[in-house]
Amino acid sequence: MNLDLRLDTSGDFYAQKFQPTKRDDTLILNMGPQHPSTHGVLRILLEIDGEYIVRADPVLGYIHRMHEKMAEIMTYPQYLPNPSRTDYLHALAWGWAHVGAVERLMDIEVPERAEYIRVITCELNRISSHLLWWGAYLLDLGAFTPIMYAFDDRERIQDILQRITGSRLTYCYYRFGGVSHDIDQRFIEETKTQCARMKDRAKMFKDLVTDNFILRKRVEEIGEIPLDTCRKYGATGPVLRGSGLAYDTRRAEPYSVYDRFDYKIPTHDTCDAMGRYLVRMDEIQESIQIIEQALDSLPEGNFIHPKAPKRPKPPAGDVYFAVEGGRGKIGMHLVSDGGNKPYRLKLRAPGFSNLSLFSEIAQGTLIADAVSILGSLDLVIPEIDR
Amino acid sequence: MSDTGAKPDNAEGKKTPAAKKKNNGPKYSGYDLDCFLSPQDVLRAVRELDQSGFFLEDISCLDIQEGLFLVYHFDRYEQPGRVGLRVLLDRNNPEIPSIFDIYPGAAWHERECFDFFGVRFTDHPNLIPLLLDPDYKGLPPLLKDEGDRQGLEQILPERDVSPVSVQSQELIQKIHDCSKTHDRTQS
Repeated sequence: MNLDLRLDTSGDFYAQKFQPTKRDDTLILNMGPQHPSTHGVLRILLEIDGEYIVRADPVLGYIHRMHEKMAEIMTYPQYLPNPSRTDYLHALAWGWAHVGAVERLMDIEVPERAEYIRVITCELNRISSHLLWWGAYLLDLGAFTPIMYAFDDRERIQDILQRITGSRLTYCYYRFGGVSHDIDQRFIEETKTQCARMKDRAKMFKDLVTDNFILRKRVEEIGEIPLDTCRKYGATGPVLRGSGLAYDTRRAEPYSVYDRFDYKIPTHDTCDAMGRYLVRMDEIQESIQIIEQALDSLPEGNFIHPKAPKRPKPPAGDVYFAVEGGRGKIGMHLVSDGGNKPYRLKLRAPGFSNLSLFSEIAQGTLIADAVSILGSLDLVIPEIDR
Repeated sequence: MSDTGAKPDNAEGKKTPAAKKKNNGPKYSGYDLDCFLSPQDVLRAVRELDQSGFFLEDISCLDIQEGLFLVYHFDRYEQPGRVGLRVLLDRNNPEIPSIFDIYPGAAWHERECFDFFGVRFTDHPNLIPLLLDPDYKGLPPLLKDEGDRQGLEQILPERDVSPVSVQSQELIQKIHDCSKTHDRTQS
């Protein structure tokens, strides 16, 4: 009787490519595509020795929708709703990257008030994105209650944004040269109330979860990513800042009016999952700081430039525009031939680069720790697969 | 019929010089250093970037009349500044050395270019489909139809597209000094 499991299961294309190995006492295991801890359809091929991971290789593409091809066959305004379908958790940042690239290429002026509105809504969206990550990550680690608290706050933010943008998740709010609707007094008051509430909640989150002994055992000294590994794989966002480097596109490559606000770039130099956890928790507070300052100094004026083109036809040329999303640097490389559709639009997804370092850091860890590492990278699969 | 067919042609012929005059390009294109290289120089340039502390943002590709046009985007954490390396490949034999040995993170970006454009990266450890179905048999999906392709001149008008030599000390110095030159909010 043949007891070598590997000979019985030849597997699909990717499993076969993964097969060759010198060891005969290991097992090849598929984690996903529908594993609860992979948050979407991500599959990871594992070679395991007992509970330990010898090799890991993510398999992507299960929800690939060819957003880059869609950009080439749709006119600029037709593509406006698309970017928010890539990273649906920080949809506004993706929308911003798109309109920002077109504005940079065409040199469209954005009124000051519109820039402030963009900052406020984008930061609100960042908070809701981090909240969902927080709840879902703890769910992966076996704590059910926190996601209920996270959704309590998240729903309030979604209510605020829904009145202004018209949607709760996949926002299509930014336009070339501004935003689609102005904000009103009620929005300002509700946002202020929510900011004050979030500050209070932070204490409760800390007492309830962050200081919890069991959580700390699951995340401290787990998944350490040295700075040089971050650089070699192009990691950005909280993954990089959790390794101790204060790199943030809002500061490094200033866009919009971010340089007018006083905020810190939180870093933790422990390089582990706890570092990334704490960075995101601190970032929620920093986003609140930005929103409060923006609301206090909100200028009067147009919410969209009166002469903003509704059907843009940018001149020939190419630009790169990057913004800081909840997961890191979102980049758009827009190439135009002077037509009403992009000649090529390349989307840089931060999660794509962040996930690519998983194979390296997962080596030698326990499967349970790999779950913790994956969660700490804050993956949104539609963004990675595009 | 022939009349109406001739008119747009004429209109276009008139428009191009006017558009050229007006088009000085955007104030800031997002690139702080932008250079054209020949395929055999890429490894050397990327090694230089690695030593100067850059990280790889992404690898973009374009299908144009002259062939396949790769654009590598690099940026730096400590002293931000974007470098674009542009390489033109032969359409019939789109081959270029992989930069996997220098930047292991390039593996996925290169597999993506292989998926969408059929660019073959030599010495890549695992050049198999990444985002596309491995059973997909058609042409790479982002390749354009013959008639839709534009030339370099249409996409990057008035740009010096002749490859620079990596041997030159000048380029190495430029890479080293590269930093963000423009602040959008100050304009």
